[in-house]
Amino acid sequence: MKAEPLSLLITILPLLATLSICVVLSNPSKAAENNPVDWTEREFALIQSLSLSQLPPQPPSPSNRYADNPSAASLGRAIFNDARFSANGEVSCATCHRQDYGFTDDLPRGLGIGVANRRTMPIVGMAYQKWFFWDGRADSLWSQTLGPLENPVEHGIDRHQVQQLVSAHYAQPYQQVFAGDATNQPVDQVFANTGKALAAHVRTVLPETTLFDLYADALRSDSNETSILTTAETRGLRLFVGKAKCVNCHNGPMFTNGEFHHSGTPDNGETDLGRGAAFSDLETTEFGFFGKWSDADPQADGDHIRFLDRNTHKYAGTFKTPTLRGVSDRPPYMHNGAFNSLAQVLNNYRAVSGSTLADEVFHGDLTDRDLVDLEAFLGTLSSNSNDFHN
Amino acid sequence: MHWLLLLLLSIFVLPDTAGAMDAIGKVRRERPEVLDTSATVATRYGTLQASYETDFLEVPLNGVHSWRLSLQDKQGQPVTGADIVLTADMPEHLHGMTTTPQVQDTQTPGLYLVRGMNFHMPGYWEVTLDISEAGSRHLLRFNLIVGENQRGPDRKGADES
Ligand code: HEC
Ligand code: HEC
Repeated sequence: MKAEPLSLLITILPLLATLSICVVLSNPSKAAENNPVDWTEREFALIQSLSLSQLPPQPPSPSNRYADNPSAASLGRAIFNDARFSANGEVSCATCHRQDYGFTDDLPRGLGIGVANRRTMPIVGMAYQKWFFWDGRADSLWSQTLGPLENPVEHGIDRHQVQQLVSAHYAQPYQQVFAGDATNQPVDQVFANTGKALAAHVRTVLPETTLFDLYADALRSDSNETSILTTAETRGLRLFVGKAKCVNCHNGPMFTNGEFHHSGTPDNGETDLGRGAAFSDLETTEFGFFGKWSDADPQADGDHIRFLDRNTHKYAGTFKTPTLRGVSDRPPYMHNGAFNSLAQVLNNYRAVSGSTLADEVFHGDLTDRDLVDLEAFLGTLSSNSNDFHN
Repeated sequence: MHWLLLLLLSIFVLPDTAGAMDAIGKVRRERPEVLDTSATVATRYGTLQASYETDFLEVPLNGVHSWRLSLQDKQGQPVTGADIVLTADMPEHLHGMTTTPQVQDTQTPGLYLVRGMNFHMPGYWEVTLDISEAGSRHLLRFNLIVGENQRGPDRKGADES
């Protein structure tokens, strides 16, 4: 063990102090009294923090002043489903982001004009995110939506074609929302506005209430309806917020912190630097948060970008924590579709725990039963219906 | 008597039980059962006192936000012109924030603005201030438990896309 004596001292001293206090007070964490499954206060608080009832109203999107404009959203919705916006007239956003499949698809890599280099992401609760794509290379939702349009393996068109298509098929709604003529405006402006309309639509895709949410609500209201979850599911939940430490990254009502982490997903020989390669994209894009077409106030807004830690080395091979809402309904998993089942995902977590592959994943020794129970719990994060608020 | 023994014992045993050590010599530490999480801390002899405020009831989880940081000397006078380096870490993980917050001076003497704070995991955080002023240097540390309040995440003013 090598350590600078000073830093060791700094770390040990407060520990000693608190240790002696602990000895004196000897105060084991108390279980919340009125609580049938005797959750500790900490567990109880974490469970509540994951519940949909804690989901705040959609935060504003300062870079897109049409973000909450209903006419922009309905224009965006039409374009989202319009396959004319593609090189072969067959691919729309909805081809990959399927409403009947949790707004993703069942493939290891998205399939448009060609094969995308990563798995399609579920696009539920996007208004609550700061970074977009697996590597977060887009700093706003509207600039994200422009990516697939010009990506040769997704829609395979370009901004000029977007302008023509909007002028030909959506001139009137465009005029109504953006108070301008799509035919005469600069091509980049029409392109950016199209993105803003798409973003306004995507923001309306919200998560559904699940069994877990009902359970959390029941706990809070003291209704004793704890049979909403089975014993295995309850045990899985306890592991999730406790020993297994899943809540470190999969936290908040969307079950994601929206940040980038090593989770030890095998790359099958194809190196993908993930977040580590995204910082230059953030700087070069003309449609960025601080760019010409953004509506943000460059002084007041965007602190998440201004103060971003851009350490390429530290973030090499990290990917955005995905939401776990609806997860059991939509295999495969991970940025590269490496796993076809939740059991495989969980086995891998156990295998990589504490290793350099996944330096932030550690969760004691998970037993076989723990994995089964965790999987049971993940199943409670799906609603039983396919009709999303949309 | 027996707690003295424990204290002695802990001096020798702790470095090992405290857990793994990473390459640069940081020690992974579990959250102590009792933690002083007050928003005002002082150096041992009270030479320097620091406190912070946010716009929120609780420090937000996953929300980029600012801190208003006040520095006072022993006499309660504002400490101006200090050079402050702030770092935030999770002792249980050896990982810090995904942002690099910066400390700025403000118009008010002794008041500093920290922009770019973002606690992206719930639990035990340490925010350390390395403060240089008038030829002396001090380390001050705030302990925080983030995201474990029952009210759930606040949102006002959190930074979004
Ligand atoms: C060919 C399949 C395909 C099509 C078509 C497609 N996407 Fe995607 N989508 C993906 C893939 C793959 C990713 C992840 C790409 C990456 O990380 O590099 C993604 C990521 C996203 C994300 C980011 C989600 C997050 O959590 O960061 C959003 C939002 C999104 N797509 C919206 C759209 C919209 C809007 C359209 C239509 C303009 C669209 N997509 C068209 C496959 C597709
Ligand atoms: C250090 C942060 C972190 C921790 C801790 C963590 N995850 Fe993840 N999780 C991620 C990231 C990042 C991904 C995406 C990885 C990738 O794409 O390669 C992910 C992906 C997943 C997926 C696949 C979702 C999808 O749509 O592809 C599941 C399921 C999952 N995690 C469950 C868990 C469970 C259960 C635990 C606790 C045992 C856990 N995670 C702990 C960060 C974390």
